Amino acid sequence: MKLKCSIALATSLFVSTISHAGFYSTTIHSRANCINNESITWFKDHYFNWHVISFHNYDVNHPSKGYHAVDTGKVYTWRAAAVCWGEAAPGGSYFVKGFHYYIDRGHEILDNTTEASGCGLDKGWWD
Amino acid sequence: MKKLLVASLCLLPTVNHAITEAEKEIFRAENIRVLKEKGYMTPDSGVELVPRAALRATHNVAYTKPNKEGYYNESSPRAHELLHFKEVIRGYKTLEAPMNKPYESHMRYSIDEMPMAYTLIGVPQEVITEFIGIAPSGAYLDDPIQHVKGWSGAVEFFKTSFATCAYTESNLYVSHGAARIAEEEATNDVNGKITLIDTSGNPETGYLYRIKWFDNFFIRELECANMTYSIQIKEKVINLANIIDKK
Repeated sequence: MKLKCSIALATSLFVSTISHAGFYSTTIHSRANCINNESITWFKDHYFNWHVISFHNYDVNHPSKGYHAVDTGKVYTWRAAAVCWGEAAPGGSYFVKGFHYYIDRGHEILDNTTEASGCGLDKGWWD
Repeated sequence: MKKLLVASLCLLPTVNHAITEAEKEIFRAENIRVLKEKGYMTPDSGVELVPRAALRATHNVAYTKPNKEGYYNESSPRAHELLHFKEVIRGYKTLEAPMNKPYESHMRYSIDEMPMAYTLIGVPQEVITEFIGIAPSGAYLDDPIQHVKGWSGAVEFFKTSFATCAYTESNLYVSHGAARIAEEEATNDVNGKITLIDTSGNPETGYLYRIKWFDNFFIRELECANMTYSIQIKEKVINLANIIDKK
């Protein structure tokens, strides 16, 4: 299966997850088996130093190799998205874990940890 | 606007079985092991003071000191936003009109309408001269096994006697967050807890007075905006943070 993973910064991908987008504060989510696998931190039009690492796990028999991670690195943006496009069909069994860091004047904050094995927007740490 | 960065093209096997809770645990442990190996913070690792040099090792952000008056002389879009916050809300009115689901991030105009995954602490009524609204912050969780449903945090917008403010709280039990704070800049101004204080702004945008404080249960932030900079206002914001913390 050929796929494309990307680190999306402040793009205009304001479509499927619009209702979840943070308008008044930072919001965070992961989604899995949603065509994409993804972990995203965003706060519309508010720029921060963020860093999202999204683990896309698929082989429990070889956990140290049965995943790949999309890592945005430290980015100054209003939307830090660690996404793997076209990776997982609906009904698949990927397990996504997102680690959402905020670097606030150099201080390091792990804002939230999200995880998902489904496509819904209501998937945070538990699923 | 920065262009998309294509990180990799790869081949992965197709997977099609339902993942079990036991399998998730295996993946969680492995993912956290990888983070530790790379020197990143891991979930529920607490709030710790460390030398600033140790922070640079992982995220490479240089610290700049405020000016001799005690603030960063720079524009503050956040101060301007808070000082014109009702216009901001009006700007989102059409976009928010169809939103009514608990996991949607629209403004609520009553604390009771905010679906939280824990009991919200919030701002004491007696310091609020005008309540503006409350909105989600963090992640929305829905887990029937753990009996957790709602947001991991919230931001409350209000006016007080000296400023327009936003108070954000994030529950560490729900978010599984953590923090590493540079000991050189930390104070204990909010009830002896690890505290960060900074002010930024200029006469055009106004000034943002920001207090962030940490304990074993919450990461909390109070942002208050005023068109002028003064030590007296800064002291009032610190005092307000102490009142909120004691609630």
